[in-house]
Amino acid sequence: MDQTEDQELYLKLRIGDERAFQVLFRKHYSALCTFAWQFLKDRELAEETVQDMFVKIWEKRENLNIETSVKHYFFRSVRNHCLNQIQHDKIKKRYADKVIETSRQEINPENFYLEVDLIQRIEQSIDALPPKRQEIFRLSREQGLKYKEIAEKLQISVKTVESQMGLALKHLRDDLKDYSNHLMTLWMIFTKS
Amino acid sequence: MKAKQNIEDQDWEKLAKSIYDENQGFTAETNEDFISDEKTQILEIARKVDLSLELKKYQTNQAWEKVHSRINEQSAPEKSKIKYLISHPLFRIAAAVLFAALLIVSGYEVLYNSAGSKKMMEVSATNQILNMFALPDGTLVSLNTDTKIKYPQTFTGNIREITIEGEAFFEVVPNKNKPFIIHARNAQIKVIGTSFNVNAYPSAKSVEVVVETGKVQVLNKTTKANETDELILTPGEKGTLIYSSNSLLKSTNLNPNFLAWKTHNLIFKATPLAEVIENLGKVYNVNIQLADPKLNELLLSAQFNDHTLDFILKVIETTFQIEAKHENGQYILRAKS
Repeated sequence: MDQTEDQELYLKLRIGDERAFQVLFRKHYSALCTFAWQFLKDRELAEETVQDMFVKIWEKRENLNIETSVKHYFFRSVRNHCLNQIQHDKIKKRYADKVIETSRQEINPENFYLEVDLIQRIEQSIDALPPKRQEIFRLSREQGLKYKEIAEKLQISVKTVESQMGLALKHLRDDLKDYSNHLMTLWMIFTKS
Repeated sequence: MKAKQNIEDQDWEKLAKSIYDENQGFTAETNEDFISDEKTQILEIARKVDLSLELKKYQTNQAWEKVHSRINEQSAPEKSKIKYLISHPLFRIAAAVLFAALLIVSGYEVLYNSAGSKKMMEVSATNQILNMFALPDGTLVSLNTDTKIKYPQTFTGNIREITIEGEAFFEVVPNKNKPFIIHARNAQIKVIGTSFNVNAYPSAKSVEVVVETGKVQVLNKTTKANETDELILTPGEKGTLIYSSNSLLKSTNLNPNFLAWKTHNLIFKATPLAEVIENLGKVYNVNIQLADPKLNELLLSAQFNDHTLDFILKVIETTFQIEAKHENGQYILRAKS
C-alpha cells in the first residue's frame, strides 16, 4: 500500500506536481534525517543534507528514473550525500571511517519508521514516569548524556542514575510489550487469511 | 522458585546500563548477541523508544518552509493544479424515516442559534450515543457520548460545512458540486461522499480519522498560508493529527473496534485483559478496573455482536475464573478466592 502510494506520488512529481513532492517530503523527512544523523552525528548537518537531497530531486524531477522503490532511492541518495560531505571535509576525521564502514552495509529503511500509534504510546509511557525518573531518562535518551554526566548535572550518585534507568526501562517494557505482542497477533491473523 | 524469564531489579539496572550508559542516542542495529527472547524484546522496545525521540527532533514543518522557498526561487513559479477528490458515487437514502425515529432517542438536544444571517443548529449527545441523525442534506451522523456538532439549518453556498467536538461516524450523501467539510479542532476533513469516523475530543492529544468507504482528505489547519499539510485516506486507513508535534500522519487502522461505540460489535483476538476492559469502558461508558495487574496477562479471544455489558462480563468471568463486582460506580475484576 505504502509503496504504491509513493509510486503514484513519484509519477506526479515527475510532471511537476509540487503537492505530491510535499507529501513525499513530509512522509520521509524525519526518517531520512535520523538515517543521515547515524552517519554524521550532527543534527544540523543531517537536516541540511536531507534538504539538499530533496531540492536536487525537485530540480531534476523531469529526468528522474527511479526503478527500485522510491523509499530506497531516497535512502541511497542520502547515504551518497553523506559520503560527499566527508569529501568536503566538513565532518571530523573520526567519523569519516564510521561513515565509510556503515555505507557498505545494506540499507534497511524500515528501521527508521514507526507506527503512529506506537509513537503516541511511547510518548504517554515516558510522560507517565515519576518526575525525577523522567528527567534522568530524558537526559540520557534525548540529550545523549552518559550516566556520569547525568549524576554530575543533577548532583546525585551514579548508583541512583543506574537504578532509576533500570526502573524506567522496566516500566517501558511493561507498558509497551503488549503493543508488540498485539502487532504480532494481528500480523499472524493477516498472514493466515 | 522464580521462572527463568523473570528479571530481578538488579538485572534491570545492569541491562539498562548496558543499553544506555555509553549509547548517545538511537542506533538502527543492535550488535548484541541475543541471549533470550525476552532480552531481544527489551532491546527492540529500547530501540523504538530511542527512534521515536530521535524522529521528534526534526521539525518537518520548518524544514519544508526552507525547501519550499529554495525550490521556488530557483525555478520559475509553477502552479500545481489542485485536484479535488473523486470518490465512488455511493448513493445514500436520505433518511426521513430515521429522522422521525430519532425523536424517541433520549440524551440529545438541539439548540437554535440565530446569530447572523445563517441559522446555526447544535446537536449534542451527552450520556447516550445518538444513532443516525440526519443533517439537512441527508448525510447521516452518529454521535458518541459527550459529543456535539454545529451545522447551519440549510447548507447554502457551494460547500457543506460543520463543526464537531468529540467522536462521530459520518455517512455523507454524495454531491460533487458541494463538498462536505468538517472542522475538528485543528484538522479539516473534506469529502464528497463516503463514510468515516472522526475522533476529536477536546481532552485527547490528537484528532483521528478512520475511513470505511470512499476517499477522505484531512488537512492540518495550523499551517501557514502558503503551505499545505494534507493526507488522502482510503478505506482501512487512519489519519492522525498529533498536537504535540503538530504532525499529520497516515497509518493502517489496526483497531478492529474503532466503530464499536456505535455498533457494539467487539472483536478480541488474544487481546490482553487491560485492553479488553479499556474497550468495554469506552463502548459502555463505564469504569472497569483490574484488582491485580497480573490479570492483564490473561488473553481474550472472543466476538460480541451487540451484547449487553453484563453478558460480556459473564463470559469473562467464566473464561478466566474471575469475578466482576460492581462497587462504588465502577466494576472491579479480581481472581476468585
